[in-house]
Amino acid sequence: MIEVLGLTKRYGDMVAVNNLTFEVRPGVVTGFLGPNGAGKSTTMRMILGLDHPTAGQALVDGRRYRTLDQPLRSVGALLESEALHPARSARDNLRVAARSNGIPMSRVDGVIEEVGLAGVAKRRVKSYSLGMRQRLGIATALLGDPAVVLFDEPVNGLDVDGVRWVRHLVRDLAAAGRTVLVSSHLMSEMQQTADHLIVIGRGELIADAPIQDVLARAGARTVRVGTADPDLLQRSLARFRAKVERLEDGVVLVTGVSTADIGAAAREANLTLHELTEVPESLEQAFLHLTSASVEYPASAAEPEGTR
Amino acid sequence: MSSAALAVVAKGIPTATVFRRAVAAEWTRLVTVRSTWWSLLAATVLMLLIGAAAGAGHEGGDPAPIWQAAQIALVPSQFAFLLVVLLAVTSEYSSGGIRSTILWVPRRGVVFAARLLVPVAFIAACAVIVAVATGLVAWGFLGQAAEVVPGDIAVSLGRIAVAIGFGGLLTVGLGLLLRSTPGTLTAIFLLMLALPIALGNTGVSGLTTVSDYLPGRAVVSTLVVDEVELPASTIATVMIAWTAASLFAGGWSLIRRDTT
Repeated sequence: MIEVLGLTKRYGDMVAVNNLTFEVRPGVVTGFLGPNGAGKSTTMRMILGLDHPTAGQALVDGRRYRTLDQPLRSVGALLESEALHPARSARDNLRVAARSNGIPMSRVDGVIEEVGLAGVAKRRVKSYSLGMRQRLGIATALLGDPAVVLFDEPVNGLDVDGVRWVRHLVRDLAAAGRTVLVSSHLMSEMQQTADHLIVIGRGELIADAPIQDVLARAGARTVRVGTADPDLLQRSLARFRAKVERLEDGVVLVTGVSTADIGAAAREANLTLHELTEVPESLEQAFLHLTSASVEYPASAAEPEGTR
Repeated sequence: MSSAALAVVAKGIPTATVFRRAVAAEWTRLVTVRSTWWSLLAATVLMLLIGAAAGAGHEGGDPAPIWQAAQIALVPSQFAFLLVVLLAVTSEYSSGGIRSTILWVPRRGVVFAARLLVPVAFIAACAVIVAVATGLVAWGFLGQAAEVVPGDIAVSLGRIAVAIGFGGLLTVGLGLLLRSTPGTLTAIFLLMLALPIALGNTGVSGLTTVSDYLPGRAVVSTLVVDEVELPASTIATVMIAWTAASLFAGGWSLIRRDTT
C-alpha cells in the first residue's frame, strides 16, 4: 500500500507536483500516467525518499521510506534515470545492494537468472544495452522480494520480447498480492497492463479510477455511421450540436451522440443507414481529453508541457 | 508467495546492524571498481620511486633517517591516494549511483558515516603499508648512510596516517558538497597545493598568513618536519577546523539536499 498525502514539490516558482493525494492498493496494477514532464518521476522520487517534498508526505506500508532500515525487503524500485555504477559489473552492483540490506548472496544469482542476465552478469554495466540495463534495474527492484514495487517507465528501451516480459512480470507481481505502481507516458502501454489509473498533468491529479471508468468518463463516444446521404444526416443531427467528421464513401464519424439517438434521428429524416458502429475509445484519446482539460486549471504555474 | 509472507515488514533493526551493512556495501563498492586499484597502483609506484630517488641521491656520509624519506615521498603521492576517495564519492554523482545508494540505505546519516569511514580508513591503511615499503627501499639505496631508529617508525607512520586521514576527510566533505569530479579535484588541488604555494610566495604578509592556515600547509608541516614554523597546536587546530567545516558542508549536502 502506498499513500500519497498532499504531496507538493516546488522548485522556486515552478510547481512540479501540486497537492497530490492518492492511494495505491495491493493486488492490482496501478498505472501512473501523464505526459513527459507531468511530475511522475518527481512524485516517485519523493515516495522513495530521494527528493524532499515541499509539503505533504508519502507513506509506504504506513512508514516514510526514509525511515526504513532495510528498504529493499519491502519496496523495490526501478528509476527512470540511470542509477547504477557503469564501471561495476551487474553482479557486483547487485552484491552491493544485497550487502546493504542483509540479503543473502545466493539471492543475487537467483534474481540475475530471473531477469535473464545470467550470461552477462560479470560484464561491466557500461557495455550493456539500454534493454539490459533495464533488466538489471528490475533485478535490483526484485532482489529483496518486496511487497511494494514501483517501476518508472519500465518498458523504455526494451525490444518486443522485453516489453512482453515486463507486462507479464507486472501482472504476475500484482496477482501475487503485491502493490504495483507503474508509470508511463505511453497510453497504449497502460491499456495493456493497468487495472487502475492515476492520471496526472502538470503536477495535478486528473483522474484516479479503474481504467474502464477513465475510458468511459474521459469523453463522448465516437460513432461510425454509414449512409448514402451524409448531408441529410448532418442536418438531422444538428440539434445535438455533435461533432461530425466526413470520411470517404458516405461514412461519417459522429462524436457526442449515442447510437440510439443517431438511429432515431435517421428514422425521423427517413434516412437509410448501412452502418452504425460505436468506435471503442482508446486510452490515448481518453488521455488527450483529460489532459486538455487540465490546461484550464488556474492554479498551475508550470509551463505547458508537450502533450504531443 | 503467500500474502502472509508479503505482510512481513521487518522492524526494529538495530542501527548498529544498519551501519554494519552500510559499511559492508561501501567496502564492496570500493573494491569492485578498477579506478580504486589504478589510483592505488599509481600512489605506490610514485612513493617507491621517490623513496628510491631520495636514497640514491643522498650525498655525503650524513646519516639519513629512512622513515623521513617515506614521509617526504607522501607529499606528492598523497594526491593519488586521495583520488581513491575522491572518485568513490564523486563518481556516484556523474553515474547516478548515488540514487541507488540512497534507495538502498535511505537513512542518510548512516550513509554519511559509512562513506567517511570506509574509503578514508582504506587509503590511510594503504598509505601506511606503502610507507613501510618506501622506507625499506630508501634503506636499500642508502646502505651505510641509513639511519634506522626503530622507535621512529611509529611516529612516522602516525604522521602519515594523520596526513592522509585529514586529506581523505576533507576530500569526502568537498566531494559530497560539490558533487562533481572535476570540481572536487580543482578544489583539492587549490587548497592542498596551489594556494598554499602561491600565497606563500607573494611575500605579502597578509597573504602568507592566510597560506599558513590552508590545509596544504598543515599536511606539509605534518610530513616534512624541518619545515615546521607553526606550533603543533596550530597545525592541529587548522586540521580540525577544516575537517569540521568540510564535513558539515558535505553532510548537509548529502542529508538535506535532494539526491540529484
